[in-house]
Order: sequence, then structure tokens, then C-alpha cells
Amino acid sequence: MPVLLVTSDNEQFRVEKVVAQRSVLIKNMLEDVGESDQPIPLPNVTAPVLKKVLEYCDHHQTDPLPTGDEPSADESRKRTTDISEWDQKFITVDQEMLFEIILAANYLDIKPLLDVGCKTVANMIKGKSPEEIRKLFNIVNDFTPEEEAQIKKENEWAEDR
Amino acid sequence: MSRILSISTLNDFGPDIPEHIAKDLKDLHEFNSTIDELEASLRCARSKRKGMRVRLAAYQVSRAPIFWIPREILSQIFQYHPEDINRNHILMLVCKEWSQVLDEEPVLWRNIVLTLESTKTIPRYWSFALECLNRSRTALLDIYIDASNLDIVDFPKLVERYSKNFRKAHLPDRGDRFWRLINTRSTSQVSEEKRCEAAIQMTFNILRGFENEAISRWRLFRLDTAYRLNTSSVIMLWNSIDHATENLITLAFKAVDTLQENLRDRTTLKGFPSLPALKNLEINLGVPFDTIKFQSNMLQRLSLMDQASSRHFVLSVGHRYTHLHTLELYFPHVWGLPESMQPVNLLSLHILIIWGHMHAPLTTQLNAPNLRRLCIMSSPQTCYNASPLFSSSITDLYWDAVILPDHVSWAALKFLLTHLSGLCRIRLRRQPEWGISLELRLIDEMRVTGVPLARLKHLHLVSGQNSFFTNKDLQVVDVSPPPWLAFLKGENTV
Repeated sequence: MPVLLVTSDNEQFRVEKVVAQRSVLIKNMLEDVGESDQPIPLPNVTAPVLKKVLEYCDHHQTDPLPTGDEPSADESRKRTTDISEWDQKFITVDQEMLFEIILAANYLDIKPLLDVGCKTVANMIKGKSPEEIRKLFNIVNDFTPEEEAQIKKENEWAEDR
Repeated sequence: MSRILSISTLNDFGPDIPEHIAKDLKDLHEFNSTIDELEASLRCARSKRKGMRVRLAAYQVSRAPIFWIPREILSQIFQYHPEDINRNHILMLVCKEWSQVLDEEPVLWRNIVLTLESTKTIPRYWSFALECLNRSRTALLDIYIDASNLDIVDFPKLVERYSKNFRKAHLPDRGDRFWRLINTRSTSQVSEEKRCEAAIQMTFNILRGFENEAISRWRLFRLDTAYRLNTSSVIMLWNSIDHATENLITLAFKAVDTLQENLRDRTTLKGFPSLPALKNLEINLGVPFDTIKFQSNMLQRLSLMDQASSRHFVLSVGHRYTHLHTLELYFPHVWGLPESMQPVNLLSLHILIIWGHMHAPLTTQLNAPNLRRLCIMSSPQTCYNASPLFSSSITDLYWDAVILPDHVSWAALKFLLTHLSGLCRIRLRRQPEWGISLELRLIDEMRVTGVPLARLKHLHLVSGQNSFFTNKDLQVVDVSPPPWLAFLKGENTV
């Protein structure tokens, strides 16, 4: 039975239940309301973002869901930033969309997608200097020269000697 | 300048002032007023400019999408790449917001990844360890020490750095032996081993914290040791992990190659640490491990990466591990498991990883009715004509063909596939230079053995470009080791 999702900009998406249920939030909502054809409002997600998220859910619809009876891979996930080929292509978007997807994955509680997003940002950061990171993400250096010097002094040990 | 500015009234010049001087004085007053006004305007403009810059920066920051995400997700992003010793240092210098996140989140300092290689670099890692211990506050610690390329050239200098900067705050463990170790001056091979052991021991001392404060916070501890260490040294290091009892749930203690055989001094086995909270254990000490005093029925993941321990597990002690969820065994050679042995009942086992050969007694006597995932590293060989006990429950098969399989391997795999009646997902990884012949052969074998291809939901192959395969029900996608194979990454945390 399909599920009707309504985005913050009032667009409707009719999707298969198995796809929608990749979101723990939606899964729980469906379980709460039982069999119903009532639309599910998603006030924190816009249509273009939901479209992308559903593309991910559709592709991964047969992946095993975390069951809770397995040793958690929570820590392991943080030790590897490997992203599968399909996921890499999927997440190759502009920065605005990337962070929108991360926010949506967090709100909809889709852990694997949140992971892909976080890993992507982590990979973007890796190996870059503070200045390069600022440039990449349009971040302003708001330190005074004294503050910057102080942080550098505290971390002197980290410099190559 | 100050003299001129101080001349402000006609009285300063006395009664008879020439007319042109009087005019200059008047003009001077006017200029002073003008300059004062201009300076006030300049101050005002500068102040406005500063305010505007702050507002524009704030606006720019608010427009930067990275600031849309909440702090906990930012922290989650920062936690990747823990192996980078400079990571936090670089992130702290990006902006105040990030610096604050680093300051306020002890979890960002919980991963202590140390690469011990040379006299020159080790003290830097010691400093890093010390900073992590301080900044992580009360957070539990995940410690990874890679000493597999440890090479101590100038040992006295290393001891000097340790004594000067670190020893005062950290008590040496087992003092006498420790000091004997660091006083080793001979250049013989044994002495070189001792020096490596001492360097690791000094690292342990720092990680223990002042008066062992930090060791009770160890949650995960992984040590990959150097080939230069003999088994005895490794066992001594292992023995010194005491006090880590409350929170240590994951311990990986791996040696390299040469430790697989013959323990020199069996008496050293007596001091194995008691680790009652341990849930994940990965070892390859090259000796049967059942003398370890931990409660075996608490273990959920066990990886035995040496032949002696694997054999001992299957033959003698496996039945004690009733809560095992994941088991990894190492059988590099076709060798001596008896044809008939006591069945090993592992009712909670979900994941089985075999390095090397699928011995018939192993497959037929290992009673794991809930086994769902089977991983074969290298080629499956020596499956005899007896139905594996665990076959029907398996849904996932991961085969990492690290060597090109021969006809015996294919026969074994064919036999295995015939019995995997619940299989719905296959992942295959082979060496890129072999081309796609392995995939074709696998699919062919599945057809021959009658594995119902329509039931398979996924065939994960090494490349996503396998257009030769046309089964509509089968999705051919790229392969990476499945997440349940955490052991392969060395991450064994519950």
C-alpha cells in the first residue's frame, strides 16, 4: 500500500510503504496511525530534498535494516569513510543540497543516509588546511590575530619537529 | 608639533602682535577645528565600518550551508578520520564556532590513534596522547596503537624525552622490569626487541594516566605489534593491561607473522589480565587462549587469527562461548581436524568468517542454526559430501577471493551453494586483474548447482559494469565489504 507524504512546500509524494519505511520517523508514524490513507506531513523537508531522499531510500529498500540484535557498528562507522560507488554518485550535489540532505536524514531518522552525508563532508575536510576549509565552506575567519596565535601556541606539539 | 598645538590664544604672544601672525593664529584655530571634526568623522566611519564588517561576516556565516547543521552533527562529522593526529588542531583554527565545538565535546578527543615508528616521531604521539587524555575528561577512550613498523634507533634519546616530559606524571608499570628494559644498552637482536617492548611500555604508562586514572576509561584497546617483538614480549605487554577491567569491552592484540608459532616462555601465560567486561576479542598470540581469565560466556565477537587458537576453539572450548554473535577463524592449511568430534553448539552465532579452508568437520559439526552471514576469505576448499549444519539459515554469502580459486575450490563452492537454500544475497570480490571470469564462473556454477537465481535479490560484484548479466530480478551493484564484516576493518565495538 502506497504512502502519501506532504512536504513543507505542499508537494505530495506517493511512495511504496517499504521505501518510506527506510525512515524510522515515518515508520513509527505509520505504526502509530495504523492502516490509514491520511497523508503524512513532513514540515521540515522541501520537495526537491525529499525527492533526493526518496531516491536513496528506493535504491536501498532491500538493505537489511539495523535490527538491534547485532553488535552496533556505530563506532566502526566513524573509522571508515568508504562510500559505495552508487552512494558517491548520489551525493555528488552542490553544498546547499548536501547539507539539506543531511538535515533531512537527521530529521527523518535515516541513519545510513546521514552517515553518507557526514562521511562526504568529512572527506571534503580531510587533508585541508584551516584556510582551505574556510574557503571551501565559505567560513569567515573570526579570530583576532592574538586568539589565533594563542591556539597555535597551545598546540605547538602538533607541529612537525 | 605639541608646541605649536599648545599655542592657542593671542595672550600667549604678548601685547604687540603683528597682523600676519594674528591671522595665522586665527587660521590655525580653524584648521584645528576642521581636523577635529574630520577625525571625529573618521572615528565614526571606522566604527560604522567595523560594525558593518561584523554584520556582513555574520550574514555570510549564516549563508554558509555548513552552519545550518546542528552541533551534534558537526561533532559527528569531526569524528571521522580519527587517525589524523593533526585533525583537531586544524579544525580548531577554522573559526570560533568550530574551536568551541572542539573545546566542549570530550568525545572528539576520545580516539587516541598512535603510530609508533621512530625515535623522532614517538614523543609527538605521546604529547598527543596526553592532550587527548586531558581533553576527553571522563569520556571512555578508544585507543589504537600501530607499532607494526616500530624501529628504535636512538633509544637513549627516547628515554631522555620520556624522562623529561612524561615520566613524572605517569608511574611506570612493574617498575623493576620496566627499568631493566629501558636500561638495555646492548645492540643484540634480543636487546632490540626489548627496546621496542620498552617503547610500547612507555606509551602504555602515559595512556594509563596519573595513578592509573585513565586506564579505567579504556573502552577499546588495539595494539598491532612489531615483528621485532618476540612472543614473550608481546605476552608481557598483554599482561600489563591490568586495571582496565570496568569498561574495556574490546581488545585487539595482534602480532605480525612471526608470532604464530612457539611461545618461548610458557610461564608468562600465567599473568593474563582479568577482563570481565570484555565483549569483543581479537588475538593472534599463537597460543591456545582458554587460559585467559575473562568470562568466556560474555564474549559476543571473537576473532582468532592464528591456527593454534582456531583449532583449539573448535576442538575444545567452543561450546563455552554461548553468546557469540560473530566468530572469525583462521585455517590457512588443510590440516588435522578429526573427522568426528563433539558438535560445537553456537546458538547465537550470526556471522562466521573463515580464513582459508572450510573443513568438513568444521562445517558439519559446527551447530549454528541461526547463522545468517557466511564470509569466506580466500578460496573455499575441502567441503566434503556432508551437509553443513548451518547452511539453511544463511542469507548472505561474502566471498573475498584473495587467491585465484582452483578446481578444488570450485567443487567446494559448488557443494556449498547447493546447500545454501536460504541464500538471497551474494557479494563477490576478486582481484581486478583477473577480469570478469570469476563472476561468469560463479553465475555458471549457480546455474549448474540449481541455485534459484530469481530468489537472489543482490549479486554484489567487484564492478558495477557487468552488463553481461541479464536476470531482471537480480541487481548487480558495486561491492565493498559488507558492514557486518567489521572485523576486517579492525573495529570490534559493541
